[in-house]
Amino acid sequence: MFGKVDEKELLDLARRTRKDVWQMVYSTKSSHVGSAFSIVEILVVLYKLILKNNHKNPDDAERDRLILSKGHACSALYAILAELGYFPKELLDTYAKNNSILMSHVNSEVPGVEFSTGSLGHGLPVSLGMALAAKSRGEAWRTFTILSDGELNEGSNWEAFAMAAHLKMDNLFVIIDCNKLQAFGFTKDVVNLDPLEKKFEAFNWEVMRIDGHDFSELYRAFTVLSNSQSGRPKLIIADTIKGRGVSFIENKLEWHYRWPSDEEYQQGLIELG
Amino acid sequence: MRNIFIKILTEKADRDTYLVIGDLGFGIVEPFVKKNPDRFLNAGVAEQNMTGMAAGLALSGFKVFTYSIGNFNTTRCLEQIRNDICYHDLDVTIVSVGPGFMYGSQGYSHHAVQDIALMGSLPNVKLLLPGDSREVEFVMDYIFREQGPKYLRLGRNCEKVFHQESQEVSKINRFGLLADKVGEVALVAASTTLENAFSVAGLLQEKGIAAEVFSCPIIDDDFSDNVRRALDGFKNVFVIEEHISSLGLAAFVRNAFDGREKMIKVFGLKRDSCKVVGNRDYLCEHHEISPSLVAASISKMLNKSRI
Repeated sequence: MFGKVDEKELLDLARRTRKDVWQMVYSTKSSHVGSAFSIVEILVVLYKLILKNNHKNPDDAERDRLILSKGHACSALYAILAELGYFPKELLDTYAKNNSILMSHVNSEVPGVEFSTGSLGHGLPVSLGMALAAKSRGEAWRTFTILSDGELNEGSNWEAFAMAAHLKMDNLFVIIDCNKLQAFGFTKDVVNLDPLEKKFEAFNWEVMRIDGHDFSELYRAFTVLSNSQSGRPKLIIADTIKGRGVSFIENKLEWHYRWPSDEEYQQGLIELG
Repeated sequence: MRNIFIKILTEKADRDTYLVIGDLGFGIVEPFVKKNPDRFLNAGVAEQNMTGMAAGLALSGFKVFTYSIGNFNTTRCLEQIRNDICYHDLDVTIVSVGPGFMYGSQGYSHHAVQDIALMGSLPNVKLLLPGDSREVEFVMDYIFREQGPKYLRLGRNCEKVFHQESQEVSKINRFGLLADKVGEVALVAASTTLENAFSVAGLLQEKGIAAEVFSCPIIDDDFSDNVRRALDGFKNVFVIEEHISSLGLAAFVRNAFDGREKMIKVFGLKRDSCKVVGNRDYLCEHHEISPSLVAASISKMLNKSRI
């Protein structure tokens, strides 16, 4: 049990989310399914256990904010927001279609989405500005940002990592979706940033590294960091698998771009259960 | 101009106003900091983060100003301005000091000569191009009245005042001071070239040509209507811009007359020789936008057309 939520509820939400995403990318021949699958458990834990927010009042001034900086993975976020009642599930059928608000990089016109992203390296500076706004006004809400590990190539992030620690923004939480792949290869082969933990610790962030598909580890990390009195901004390196959930797309570069054929779609549905 | 900007900003600022600087403004911004220490941040030499943070602050209800010089808070962080501020229609004013060749001898890294074209192409942006301190007052009222993204191009010193005390400032200003007859030549200027335009008008007067000066401190949705109305009846319109020729103020003037017959001649900067370095007067000569060269050129053109 996680508070009042049992694990089955989390597993069911994760399964339904992946099935929705699989359907969305299949029906519109869209890319980035692998990037969406790697953050499903992170989103499930955030929305079911961590974030203080309410679909009935998405603009509540006191809500926690989440920015999806890796905006190309938005199909997973849209699917969860629909599951939680931010908008009708039928809207998911319009994903990536002409004149839909569900554009295939995350769009703040969608109820529950805080900020549009797409080009990488934007989410963290904006999140830092939001965290500063909360601190400046003495408000208790927190800001969470999901970045990809490939996105760490962008220099704007490092400007923000330095400034967030300088400002002691302990109301700012970053989750690195560390799926080890980026658009043209493995992250270690493009720009090797190992050892990641030491880099962030040297930047004076409070860092935990966990299995990003394990509900217990995610919950524990968020709980430990939320309760910390270190005064430092918080960062979780979530080790994940790109394409997690459908065996034949896992850890495969081409599934950054591809969508399933009819046969692959059926096979994937069976695996997703 | 910088000082009056900070003076007014400091007076008008409330608890919802935030100033973020890019490690510049020494000797200028201190009055604001003194009054509002907890609504001020030096974001360091990191303009991408500064601009993203400004968007985050604005999303959370602040009226935000980013302050730097030259190109540093425009071209360096253009995508943050485009995606984070403009597409989200956030209430951020990008204040850039020292446009054109105001930092001429510092080298072309400091020449802000593409800024109007770049900022003016972004969604929801209002361009604020004050030419004297009265116009700074005017645009500051506008900034505090209107929501949304704005670009404020602020002269470095430019302390001369062209508006008479009794003259009301508006979005397009007509200075009839030097004209002894109306309707021959309109000199359209904004920001740093307002002073140039007055010098040109004086030189033309000596040659017996009556020129009137127009300034354009605000380019917003009303601009086309306003400028057409203001220039109605003028056969010869000359735009002077300290910016890549035809892509700054002149682009907006020309667009306003799109499809209508109006001779509009532009004095602006040559795109491909912008690496030349020197003080502002030297560079204005080089690009043939100095008052003497502009006046000579206009005089020649008018004499030709009279024959």
